Order: sequence, then structure tokens, then C-alpha cells
Amino acid sequence: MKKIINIFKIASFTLLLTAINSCKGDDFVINTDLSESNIYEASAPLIKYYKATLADAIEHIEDKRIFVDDEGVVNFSVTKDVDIVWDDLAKMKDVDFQRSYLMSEYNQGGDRYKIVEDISLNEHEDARYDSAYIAHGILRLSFDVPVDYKGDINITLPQFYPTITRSFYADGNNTDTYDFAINTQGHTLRFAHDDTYSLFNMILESDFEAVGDINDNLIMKYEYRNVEADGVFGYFGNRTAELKDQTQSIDEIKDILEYISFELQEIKYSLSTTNYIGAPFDLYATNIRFYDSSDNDDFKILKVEGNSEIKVSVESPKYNQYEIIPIYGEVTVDSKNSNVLDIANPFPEEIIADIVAVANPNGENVNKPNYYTGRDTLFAELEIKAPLMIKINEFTRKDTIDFDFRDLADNKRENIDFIDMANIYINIYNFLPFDMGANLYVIDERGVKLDDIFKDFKQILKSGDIVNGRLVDPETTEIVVELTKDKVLTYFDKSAKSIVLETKTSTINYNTDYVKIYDNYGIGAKISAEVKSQIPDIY
Amino acid sequence: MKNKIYYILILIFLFSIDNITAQDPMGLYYMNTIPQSSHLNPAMQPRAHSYISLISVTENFKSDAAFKNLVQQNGKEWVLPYHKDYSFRNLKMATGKSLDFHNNIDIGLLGFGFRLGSNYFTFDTKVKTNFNLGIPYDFISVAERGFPNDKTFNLSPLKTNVFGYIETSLGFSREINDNLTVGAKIKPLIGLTAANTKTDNFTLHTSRDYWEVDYNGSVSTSGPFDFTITKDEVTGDYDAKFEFYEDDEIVDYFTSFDNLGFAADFGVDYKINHRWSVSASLVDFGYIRWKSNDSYNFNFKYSFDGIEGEGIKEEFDDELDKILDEIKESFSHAERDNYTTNLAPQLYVGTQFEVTPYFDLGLLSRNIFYKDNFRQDFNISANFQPYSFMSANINYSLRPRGGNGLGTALMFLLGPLQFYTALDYIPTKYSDLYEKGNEEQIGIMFPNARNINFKVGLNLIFNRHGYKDRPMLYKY
Repeated sequence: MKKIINIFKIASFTLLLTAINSCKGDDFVINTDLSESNIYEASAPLIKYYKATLADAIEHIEDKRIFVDDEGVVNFSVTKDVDIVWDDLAKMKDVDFQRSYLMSEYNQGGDRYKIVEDISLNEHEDARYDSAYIAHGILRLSFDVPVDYKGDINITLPQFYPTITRSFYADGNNTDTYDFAINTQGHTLRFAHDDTYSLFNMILESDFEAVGDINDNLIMKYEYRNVEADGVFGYFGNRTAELKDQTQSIDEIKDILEYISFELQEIKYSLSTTNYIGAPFDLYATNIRFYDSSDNDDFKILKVEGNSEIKVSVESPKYNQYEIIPIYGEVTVDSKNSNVLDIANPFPEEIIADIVAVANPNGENVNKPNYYTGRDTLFAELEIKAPLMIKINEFTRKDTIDFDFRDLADNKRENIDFIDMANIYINIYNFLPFDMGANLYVIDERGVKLDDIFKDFKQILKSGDIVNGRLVDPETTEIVVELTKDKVLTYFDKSAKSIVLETKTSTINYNTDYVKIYDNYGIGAKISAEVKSQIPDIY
Repeated sequence: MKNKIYYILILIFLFSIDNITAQDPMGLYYMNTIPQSSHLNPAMQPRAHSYISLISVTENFKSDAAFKNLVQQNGKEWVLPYHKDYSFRNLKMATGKSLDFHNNIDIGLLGFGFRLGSNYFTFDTKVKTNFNLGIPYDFISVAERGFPNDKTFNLSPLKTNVFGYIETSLGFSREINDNLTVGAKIKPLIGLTAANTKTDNFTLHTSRDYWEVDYNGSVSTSGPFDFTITKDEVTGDYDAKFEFYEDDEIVDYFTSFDNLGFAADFGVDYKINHRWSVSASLVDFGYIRWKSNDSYNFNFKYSFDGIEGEGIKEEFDDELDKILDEIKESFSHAERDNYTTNLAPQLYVGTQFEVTPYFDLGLLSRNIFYKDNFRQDFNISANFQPYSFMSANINYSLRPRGGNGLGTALMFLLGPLQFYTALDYIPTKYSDLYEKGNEEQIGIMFPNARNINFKVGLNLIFNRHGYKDRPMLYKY
């Protein structure tokens, strides 16, 4: 019994102690409200050093108008290609005629007859063809033999090499005409000449077996059309071709000038030509007009030493059996010999010129015959070009960037009020010869300023020193873009709509000096960020 | 009368304790009616002349922090680590430089013990598993401030250790004289499987100028599997493969006994007089050497200071690829041969006061030496051994960084069959969990609990009446 009581005491004691302490504690109400969260920080480097040079930009843009010269200076040029086609310079005239030959006039004695017909091929009377390699040409001859005449007729074209001959038996009592289509392709035509024409002969000879009325006529038709020659040699005469109102457009110049206005130190205008045609040429650009819509729609005329004309002359190119080595000619005008800098600084919107080309301007040079090989275009190019040696004189510009902050925050304040701070640290390494200051501010839809990010034209780019015309080292500016909680909430509450960037740019010593822009100039940056925020409530 | 006063004093003492929470299972130390008490001090000779231990299961889970350390009280509500009023100082006091979790599951297989004169011999076999996860405090501290400028996070305490092994122990205890008893155990160990990470150095530095990660460490595995890490020499890409053995290879692995180790226990018990005694023991002083293993040393040091590049681009694929290549090149590994796992030795120091032959009080300190960490507990116990067929223990444990708790041990003897259980954590207090603003309960939590600890087992006890000359019956 005592045993049982003692067991009971021990068990009761243990259970009592446990029961007293095995009570339900206070409920745990866990606060999961993210709006009461800690402020978390994150600092991180983003860009250690990233640089871009003008050479990179040029490569990226892939605009042939921008290039780098041998000195490394960036140049801008606009060209206009003008093709002057001389497809009739050494053209073979189409032949198509009919001739009646009175038999009595061509009798050589007995029953022998000989008719010689001259067939001329030069289009222009002052041109002279010496030889031609026929690439294409079908000579069609048609004979209508007079009645009762019978016998063999021989046709010879002696100027063709190899000589072309044809023979046939003609019977005048046969009502059919006798037709021949002679393919002259591959033949060399060595022209005969009279005072005016380059020609070949058609010789008809016959010793008739029987003859008819001597006063009868042999009728012949000649057709030789669309003759093409691989090569024509001779003298092609003094020819002129004219192309009016050749226009170079620089469409983007207005946009560029709105973006950055600058003044060039030098502008060059040139006319060049590449000649594949075997004749000398004089090429003219005349009545050269520069147009800028901001100048009351008036054209300004380019004057070169008092004349509105630029001329370039080229000789006939060299020729061997394999290729033609073209001749290139160029003439350039600049501020020293023209008013180009006065009328086109920086660049006009359009340049319009009349182009005139004259073949054999000085007449025939017997030591240098003309030749034509199928290349019938005289290539010309008009170019306006300027190396970027510029001045920028406190050019100011204002850009407005859409920044609908409420839209960014999905119109919910809780989507942005967890941000405590966001700073971006930017170190700019400027290797451009510009100083730039900027104002950056936020406005609402009515244009009322809500916040200044940069003011007083904070310097964001500083030019380095120029030694012997070149920048030596980059200059560094440090910028911090700060966004605080108050700013973020202000942007939301007051409906920030846009960010306005005002810049003021100048080249170094802009009052006196032009700066050359080299392709190795550029900008580098180092960027890091620091953010503090609470945990956003994404639910 | 004196005994009743003691009784009342204990009651008052226990009642005065507030926030009773879970504790460590040290109640077994003075329960020499349970032969397994010698596991804590090999000098402690069980009362039974002989015994056979049939089976026992021990589960021991420890955490540095209780729920209420991780979720802190703020007025009438409780806040999570991301709340602005959360105290990381208080959290660090609970965790130290690393928030550690330990879990051990031991399964005692066959064992026996017997007395021969002044000597006591024991033999035990156990399968022991150990899991340890260490989360560096600096990692948790990210929830305090994030990644601020110019801050270095020490993540070196990061670790994960899992291993299982078979422990066979041969124990010997001898009463040198009436006062002094000494004991020792030698414990050959056979490693079964392991996966361990060892971090020699792991830091993360964050700043606006650069972020840098520096890591030296190793991953070691041993088991019936192949774990291979290879690096493509051309691309620098890493490939990790994990493949279990075939069935026959698994058998070969476990019977190869390549992973051997050794541990030892030492103990001493000294009776100052017929009431007071002092004791001390060092337990689990040992290691396992894993010869059959796939282990790799890793080195990684990378500093990111931003993207570097040039030119006009719309995408930064090349630069990002370059960073990835640099990261790959910064990472290197090497195979390593054998590796050794050290056990966590435990040092027990205690004193016992015999109130009556059936009732005594004990005071115990346990010190656990982990790599990179140290744990200390104190335990006050009241041990009741009134009858041969039952004994009980009520104890209270204290941990300097919190985690106090009530525990108990019970033994019942039915014939030769002895059933015992020791609970280190009796769920004493629970709370309903709610989310603020939501009336629906989301769960139940034991807010003060840091430990789950219990042991249960069966023994066959022979000559149970005895301590050789100290009857177990109490006579009033």
C-alpha cells in the first residue's frame, strides 16, 4: 500500500509540475507587413570602364559620308555621282536604202558588169572611223536582177577582214529576188574614207551569160542596222553632253544642326571624273547653287575666282588588249579660291549644278586616236567635304524626354514608396574637346518644374588641354544622380510627365580656336549604383 | 523531516522557474539503474550485475535558436527578421557566429555488460548518424541591411556534415578503492557513408567599387556511389556526376571496411564522502578516416568591378561572356585523397549528493566541442530510485545562450525486461500562430523549443536487485 502511495506521489508530483507548465502560451501574431520592413542596401559596380570613340561610332553608323583621313581627322562629305552616257559617241549609223543601177552605166565591156556601192557608217560627219571590231551586225543584201540577164554574180566586201564574198547564179527571168544575210560578227571592218565618210564598199561583178535590155535596172536593197562594235578606232569628233540640275541633298543637316550647331574651319568642293572612254574630255560643273531653307529660300552661287564654273580635264585612258586603265581627274575648290566657306558653313541642304561634258575639246590628236571599247559612260562625282575642324560657341539645346512616372509605377503609390534612395555614380572620362554643362529637371504635364536634378548648367563634360592641336589626356567629371524617397513620392503625387535636358556646349577656346576632331576621340564612363529600399509588396 | 524539506525546496525551486522550455538529455547521467548511463561516463558502473541491451533509439535534435529567437516579440506582436524593429543583436546572442543545427539518430543494436569483482565489462554496437548544418550569422545578417557599401561578410562557418557509422565499444570500469572508480572505452568505428563540406575561408565583400568572393574549402563524400567533378579544359565548364553503385558493388563497398576510425571514452568517479561524489568523463574523443572517398578541394576567388569594354554596341553579350569565362577560370578544383572526420568530444563534469539511498540530487555540466563551435549545458537533477522495478528522474537544464528546459527519465522493470525512456524536451508550452490581420490560424509552434531529444530502449537485466551491497528498497 505504502509502495502504491509513494508511486502515486511521485507520478502526481511529476504530472502536476508538467501540467502547470504545460500551458498554452500567448498567441503568436506575426507581423508580415512589408511596409514595416528594414531598409536594405545594395551597392554594386556596373561599369568598370567603357569607352567609345568616334572611330567606333563611324564603324557602327556605316555611313560612307563620314570617314577618317590620313591624319586621323574625321571628315564629312556628301557626293553626287553623275554618269554621262556616250552611247552614240562611236555609233554605227543604221543603213537601210535601195538603189537602182542602170545596167548601161556599169558595163565593163562585153557582158561584164561591175557595180561599186559605198556604204557609210559614221553617224557624225566630223567623226572618222578607222576600224571597228564588229560584235553584232547582219548585212542584208537583196538583188532584183533585170529581165533576161543570167549568169554568175560575185559580191565582195573588201573592207571586211576576212574579206566577205558571196556568189550566186542570177536569172532575171526568175521573179524572185535574191536575198543574202551576211553575219559580220567577228569581222574587222577597215574603213575606206572619202572626204566626209567612213565607209565600206559593196562590189558586185558579173560576167553574164545572157543579157537583156541595157537600159534596164538592177535593183539592190541594203540593210545594216543595230551594228555593235567591241572596239571602234578613229576620231569621234567634238561632242557635247549636258546634264542639268544635278542635285546633292544633305537631308539630315537640319536635324544635325538642331542637335549641335557648329562652324567649320574649311569646306572643300570638288569635281572629279574617271574616264574609261578612249577620248579626252573636258568636264564642267556650272551654275553651282547652294540652297538653305533658312536663308529666305534664296540660292547662293558658288564663285570660283569670279566664275561659277569648275572645270576638270582628262585625257584618253591607256589601253592594252586586256584592260583599260582609266584616267582620273579632280579639281577642288576651297576657301582660298572660292566663296564656298561663306555660303556653305556648315553645310547647305542642297547643292545643284549643271554638268557639261565635251569630248575631244581640242579636236583630233593624230598621235592619240580615239577608241571605243563598249564602255560608254564618263563617270563624274561632285563632292562637298569638310574635315571636322570646328568651333562650337555655347550651343544650347533643350530636349524633352517622356517620363510618365505614374505610368511607370502602374498608378500605384505602393509600387514605389518602398524606395528609400537610389543613387547612380558616374565618372565620365571625356576625350572630346568639348565642355558641356547641363540642367536636368522633371516637369509635370503643364510644364511646371517639380525637381531639379542638375542645375546651373552643371558641368558634365570638361575638355582636356590641347597640345599641338590634339587632346592629350581625358578629363574626368564625377556626377551623382540622386533619387530620394521624397523625390520619388513627389514625382508620383505630382504626376511627373517629362524630363527636360538643357545643355550648353562649347569647344575649348571657342572664341579663337577651331578644334580638330580626331577619330580616336571619345568618351569613357565608370558607373556604379547604390540603392536602399524596403522589400516591395509584390502581392 | 529533513527529506521532506528537501522535497519542498525542490518543488519551490522548480515552480520558480519561468519559461520552462526544452532541455538536453543529461538526466541519464545519474540513472545508474539504466545500464546506458555508462555511455555518458564509462566509470559509472550500472547497478545490474549483468545485462543485455536489446535495442535502443536515440533522437537528438539541437538548434542554436528557438522559434522565439528567430521571430522576436515586439509589443503585442511578433516580427520577422526583415522587420525594422527586429534585433539582430539578440539573434546573434542566440546563434553566435553560426546558426547550427545538429541532428543525431543512434540505433543501439546488441550490447551486454557484466560485473567481475571490482570490474565491469561492457560491449555495445550502435549505428550512429550525424547531421550538422551551419549557417553563418553573416549570411543571416543580409536580412538586416542587405549588401551595403564596403562590407565584408564572413561566411566561413558555412558547413554541412552528414555521416553515418557503426560504433562498437568495449568498456572497462574498475573500482580502484572505496572512493575511486575509473573507466574507459575503446570504440573502433566503421564509416558507412559521409558527405562533408569544410570551409577554410569564405568571404564576400560588397562595395560600389567591387564585389569579391573568396572561397577555399572542400567537399568530401564517401559512400556506395561515385561523385565526380570534371572540368572541360577547352570550355572551362564544370560537370558533376553522381551515380550509385550497382547492387553487388554496394555490398562490396560496405564489406570492404575501408573507412575505419577510432574513438575512446574516459571517466572517473570519486566519492568524497558517503553523500558527496564528483565525476568527470570525456566521451567520443575520436575520428574516422575515409579512405574510400571522392573528395575535392575547391578554390574560387573572383572580383567583379564592372563590365569593361569598348565600342558602340546594342548588346553586351561579349562582355558578359568574358565575365563568365573569368568566373570559370577563377574556379579551380583538385582531387584530394583521404580525409578525416573528427567526432565532437563531450566533457561531462558533475557532482552528486545523496539525500537518501533512494533519492539524490545531481549537478552536471556538459561541454561539447564542435569544430568552430562550443556548446555548454548545465543540468540539475533529482533522481528517484525507490524500487527495483522503477526509477525516475526529473531534471532541469540550462544553456548559457538560452534553451532551458524540463526533462525526465523513467525506468520500469518487468521481470528481466527493462523499459526505459528519457525525454529531453517535454512540450511544456505551445502557442497558436496567426498572421497579423488574418483570423485564420496558420499553425502551432513550441516557441521556446531548441531541442528534440528522446531515448527509448529495452534491456534484459540480471540480478536486478542489486548494487552489490546497496539494496534498492527504501525502508522508511
